[in-house]
Amino acid sequence: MSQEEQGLPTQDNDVKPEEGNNTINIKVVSSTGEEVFFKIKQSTKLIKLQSAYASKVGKDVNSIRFLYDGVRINDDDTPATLDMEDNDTIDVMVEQVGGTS
Amino acid sequence: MAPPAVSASVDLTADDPPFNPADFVGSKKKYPSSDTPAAIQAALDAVLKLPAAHASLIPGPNLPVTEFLKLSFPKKSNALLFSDPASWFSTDAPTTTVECLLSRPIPPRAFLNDLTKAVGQAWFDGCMSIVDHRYNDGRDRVPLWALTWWKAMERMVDDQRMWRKSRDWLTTELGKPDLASEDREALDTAGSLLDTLGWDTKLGTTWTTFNLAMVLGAAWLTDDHIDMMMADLSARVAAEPALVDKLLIAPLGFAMAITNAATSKTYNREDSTLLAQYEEHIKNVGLAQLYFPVNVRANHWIAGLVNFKEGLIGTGKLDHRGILSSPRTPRLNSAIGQIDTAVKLSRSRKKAKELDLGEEDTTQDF
Repeated sequence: MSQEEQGLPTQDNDVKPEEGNNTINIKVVSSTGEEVFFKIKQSTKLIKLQSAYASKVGKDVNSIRFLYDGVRINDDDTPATLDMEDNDTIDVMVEQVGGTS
Repeated sequence: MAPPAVSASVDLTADDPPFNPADFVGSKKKYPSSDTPAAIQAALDAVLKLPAAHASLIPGPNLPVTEFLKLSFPKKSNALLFSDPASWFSTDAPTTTVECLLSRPIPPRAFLNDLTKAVGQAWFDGCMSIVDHRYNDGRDRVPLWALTWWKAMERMVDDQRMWRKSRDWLTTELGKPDLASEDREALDTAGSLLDTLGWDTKLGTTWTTFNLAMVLGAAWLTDDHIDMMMADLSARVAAEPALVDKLLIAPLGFAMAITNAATSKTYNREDSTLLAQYEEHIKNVGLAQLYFPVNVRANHWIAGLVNFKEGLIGTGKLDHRGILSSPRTPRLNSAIGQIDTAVKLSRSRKKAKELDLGEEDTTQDF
């Protein structure tokens, strides 16, 4: 689902990663501000990063939400398909539930 | 405020060494259960993969819900199994057929989890089958992929139970004599859809129709449901030319970005890139209103609104029909307070003035 479909603003001024730069550094930040840095290939599926993060923090990967630019990351996404840049941030959110009145 | 401490740095770029089964399978080497190299994991996955003939016995995701509910699956066993999971693996070749798996109960989930943890080492130890100690004095040997079969069947049973619960809820609600006509119409429509809706059909890239099963009932909604609704609302706004540049529906990520910024007290563009993108979009199109969902106290969903033209922010609750009905409550939670704080800080900045926010600190109920 595109950013527009999720109601998010588009990124017109994105700077594409340099050609030939096959790896990038990504910062994963939890809601409490804890940071884990990952070095990952542009073509590697981000599920690998998600699994590694979940393993490192000792949580079930299905109980964690990974967001890039506010949009949920899917298992098949890669840094390249998301146009990620070096030192970009992925936000982590725990699963939320709730009711209404 | 001091920057957060870096807790770890992980390099995921290293290529896994090539996997030669002869070097590992039957070697009694220690199986790397944590940080398993991708090549080893792929090889184990291939061992555990259901043969095509057996995989075809698992219903496809597009099977309509009503048809899915007619299927019979093996029962789930609640028996307590005290045997060592490692003793459930054997170097003997499999001796049983799929009929055996179809007729016997599925081992308890906790034990399946234990078997899943143990299967890698068993494979490295040369095991080729699973010993079902529950039957035939443990003489039967089922294929290693039976573990995959049991887990798949367990999921089918659970998912079928969820859909049955949803259908039963629809039936109960429709049987209520004082049901409003519009509610009856909506419930009738939902019931009719079960004849054509796949029980687990993909909806976009993130969700499936199974997420919808939990909507038919009184269970709490998850962030998946809320973001599905926001995606739908957003698509409906996008289809209305009169609204598309005036109103924006943000997903849960927006409230999370506000909360994160408030927690870290960083309101600059570098640390709040998502909010900076929203700011840019809002200014570029002259957006009038922004709606977004917020989870409060980890147990409640409310709607938030920022009216940029009138310089107002507000929150509201939805009633059971999805209508904003309740004014902002006096007991504001921390999340709403953080939104207020962030907006106030934003408004105090020069850039915020360009958003046409008012000078007064005003909050509007809606």
